[in-house]
Amino acid sequence: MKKVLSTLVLGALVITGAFAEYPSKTIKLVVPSKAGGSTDTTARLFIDTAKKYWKNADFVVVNKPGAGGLIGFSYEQRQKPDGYTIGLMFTPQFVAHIVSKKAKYTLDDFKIIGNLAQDPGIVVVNAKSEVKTLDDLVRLAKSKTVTAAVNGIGSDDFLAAKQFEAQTGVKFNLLPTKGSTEQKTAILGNHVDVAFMNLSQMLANHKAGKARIIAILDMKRAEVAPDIPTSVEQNYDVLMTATRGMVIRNDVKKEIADKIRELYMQVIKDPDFQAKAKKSFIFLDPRPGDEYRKYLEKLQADIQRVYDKTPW
Amino acid sequence: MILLDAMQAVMSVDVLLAVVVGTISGIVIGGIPGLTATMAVALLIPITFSFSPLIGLAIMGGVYAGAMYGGSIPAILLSTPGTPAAAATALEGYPLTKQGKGGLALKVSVVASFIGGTFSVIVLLAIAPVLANFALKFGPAEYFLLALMGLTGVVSVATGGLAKGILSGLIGLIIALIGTNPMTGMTRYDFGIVELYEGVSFMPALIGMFSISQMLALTGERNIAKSDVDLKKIKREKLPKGIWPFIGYGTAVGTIVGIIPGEGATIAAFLSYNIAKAKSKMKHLFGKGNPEGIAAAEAGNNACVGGSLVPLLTLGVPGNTVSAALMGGLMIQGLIPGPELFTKHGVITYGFILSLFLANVVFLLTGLFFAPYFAKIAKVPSSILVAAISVFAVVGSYSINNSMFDVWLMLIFAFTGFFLDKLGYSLSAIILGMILGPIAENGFTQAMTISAGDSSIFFESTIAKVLWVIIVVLLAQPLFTHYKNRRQRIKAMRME
Amino acid sequence: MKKKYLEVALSLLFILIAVLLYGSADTVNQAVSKASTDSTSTYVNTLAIVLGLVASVELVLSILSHPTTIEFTKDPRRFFALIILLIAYVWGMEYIGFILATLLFLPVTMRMMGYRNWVKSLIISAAITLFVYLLFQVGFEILLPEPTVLEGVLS
Repeated sequence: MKKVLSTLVLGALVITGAFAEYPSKTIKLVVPSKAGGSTDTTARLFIDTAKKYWKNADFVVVNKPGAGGLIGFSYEQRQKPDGYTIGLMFTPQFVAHIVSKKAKYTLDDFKIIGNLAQDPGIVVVNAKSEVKTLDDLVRLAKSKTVTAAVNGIGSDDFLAAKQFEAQTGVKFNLLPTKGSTEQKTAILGNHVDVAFMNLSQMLANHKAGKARIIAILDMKRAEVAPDIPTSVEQNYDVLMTATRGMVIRNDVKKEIADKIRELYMQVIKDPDFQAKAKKSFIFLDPRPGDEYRKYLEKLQADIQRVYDKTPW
Repeated sequence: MILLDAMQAVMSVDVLLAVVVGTISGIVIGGIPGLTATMAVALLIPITFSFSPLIGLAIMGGVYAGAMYGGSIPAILLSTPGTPAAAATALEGYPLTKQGKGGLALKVSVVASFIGGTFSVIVLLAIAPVLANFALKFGPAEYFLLALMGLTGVVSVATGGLAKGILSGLIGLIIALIGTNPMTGMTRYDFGIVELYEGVSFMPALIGMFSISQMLALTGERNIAKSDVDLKKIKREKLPKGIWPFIGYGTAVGTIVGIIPGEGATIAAFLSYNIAKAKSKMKHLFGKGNPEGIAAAEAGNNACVGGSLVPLLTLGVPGNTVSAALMGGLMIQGLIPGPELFTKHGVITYGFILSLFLANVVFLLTGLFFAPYFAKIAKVPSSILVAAISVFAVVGSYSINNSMFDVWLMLIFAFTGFFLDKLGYSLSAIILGMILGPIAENGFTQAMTISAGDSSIFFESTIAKVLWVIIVVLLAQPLFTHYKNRRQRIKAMRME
Repeated sequence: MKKKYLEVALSLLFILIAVLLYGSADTVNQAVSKASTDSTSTYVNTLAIVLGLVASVELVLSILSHPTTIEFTKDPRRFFALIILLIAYVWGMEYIGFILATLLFLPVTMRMMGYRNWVKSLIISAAITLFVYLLFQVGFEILLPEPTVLEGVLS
């Protein structure tokens, strides 16, 4: 009896849910990493602002950490295409998993909403190191074995190191670490010669004079650290940027997808959101759907080339 | 001078209120498996934009300190560690609860937690910058040795014979292999299950083996405690004599291990427990409810709170997931870890450290006041307890990664754990293997990568040499005891 | 049940695992240095060897031991009932969601464990469910499993 009754109640709930105007129930923002991390904070700040524009909507962060985002990305693809799951993703892992055939999804499984933030790659050494430029690094690597810490195989750091190797002909002794904290201690404690990391992870230590960022792997210098030269300025065509974007399943209805795109645009242009992001060391980089999709496709092709040479 | 200003800043009504609210929520969060201080800090980050920096930090610090202590309460009362760091506490606490002495166990735990927590904050306050360099001396080789040192605990937690103890530890180490090969990035032993790519999650395993397997054992009992639980008696009960040195061991170990970046609290607790057993005059009581074990373990894990903030505040190196989240909280207030934190932003930084003192006082008072009432749980009918704890175990396993897969994992660990326990295998040794496995493998493979395959790297630094000495000492003692016990058993058998 | 036979079986299982594990990590990977991949296989192989050795010792010890009976539980009926209820609870949660599953699991388990008063048991169950829901879902914003059984039919 109880079961019948509850089934009825449930049924009624589901029906009202199905016919009410979107959004009529809680929207999940899937974060493919741990609570308290940078992607997590981005999501939480996004929700904070999104509530301003969708006053009646409810949002919740669902953390699905692990395996370089793969657990979370796969989860995003398995959810119902009802528009109540918005996935956060980060590159290059999102496409790298496709290339390395670990992922069961492809880019075509998703509608790309847009990019939120970016974090350029960097090359960093201990403050006491004799290496001051990328030229120095190449010289050192030609004279002895240089150990380079990267955050796991297949990560942006790894890909940057591989690009650097391909460009210069040097060969690093790669040290894969679990997480950026290990890289940080390895650099600050002088256990490795060099590390490939991201700007936000080392900016504070660079400013405090404990570590030296010798290059930003980007076309232009970073606003927050104008003193650090880019790789391009030093005549090395090594570019790597981690980006953090938003996706939904490809088979979400167009009307709903458009609403989500609109929300994305509203939030990313919101001055309050921009101010809070800046304070949290999140470098905003708005790039709407199509533009970001092209970026992802190119990235995937680039990674494919690295993978074909040295698979992992 | 800065210190006085900081003290003044802390002594305002809203900061004090923040500490109290933070710490008490922390105790609840720590006490419920599946809720973590990291989650709480992550939830607080967007909110703290609207607070003054010190209030936001005081809440977060309170949550951190409170949760570390709170984990011990269900560990003692229900063999359900609220946090991994409280697992060692359950080994002695739960047997005491079964004897109707849960109140005493809770008192020992809160006092030890308070002393460990407070001492580590004093260290943080006084000599943080000096210690930061120590944290950096720990390279991969030293991490490997630290894990090896922790693994010696397998020998001392083993209850059903040495061979089974070592086998249990190995099971843990082998379970820890599942997931991604840290060197090549390729997945291994994963049976094609995506959820296993990151490895077997630790909390579900812990809840299954410690909590649900105890609930299965409880199906044959009316309630946890066999004797009566007398409220008045608990209130009057004094701490056991000779407990202070054990609190001291835990405090020392926890403060040192805490400074080293890495999930140190669980290791510190087990290591302190291990040392306590080696030093105890009542070794035979270990595993059967020895307050000395609780004292060492709880002082050990709480001493990690202050320790873990040393590399965070001085170097911006977060030692664990909570301090990583805390770093987010610091940065949005414009507080960038480094020397400036102690000079330019001194009032806030020192205010934050001082608020941690208060957090320790808050949980001490709360814990002492509620201990006798909490202890009554041992007389709640097992019919209600078994049902309720099962729900918390299921929800707790789910919440860590929002994953039903983890819940199934928890049940598998519960059933096999119960079976292995009955056969004399040590569940704590399995847990120890699971915690230390990744650290050992990572340290070993990274060290060998740096040295290009030369194993002398494990003997080079002074820290490495000291660690080797400790490992030998920790191994020799319990091995000798095992040998002596065996001799005595054989002798007794011959006499018959 | 005889403890001895279980112990022997388990030791044999561990020896089998040791054999399977040995050499399983020997790989070649061009992404990292040879020292890296070698160290991984050294680590795994060491575990396999130690496991094999200790399991063999345990095998001998258990064969030599006196057969003693082992009692798994004082109350086998309740013991197995709880196992079945737990499995049903978790399995059911994926279909009918957290709230309904918990509201069913709690009173049934309490009854099974010998709690006789239905009214009280329903009140306690409702209170626990509400508490967990408020704390986890409302307080900590953890989305607990939702009912899925009907949605497929409708959409």
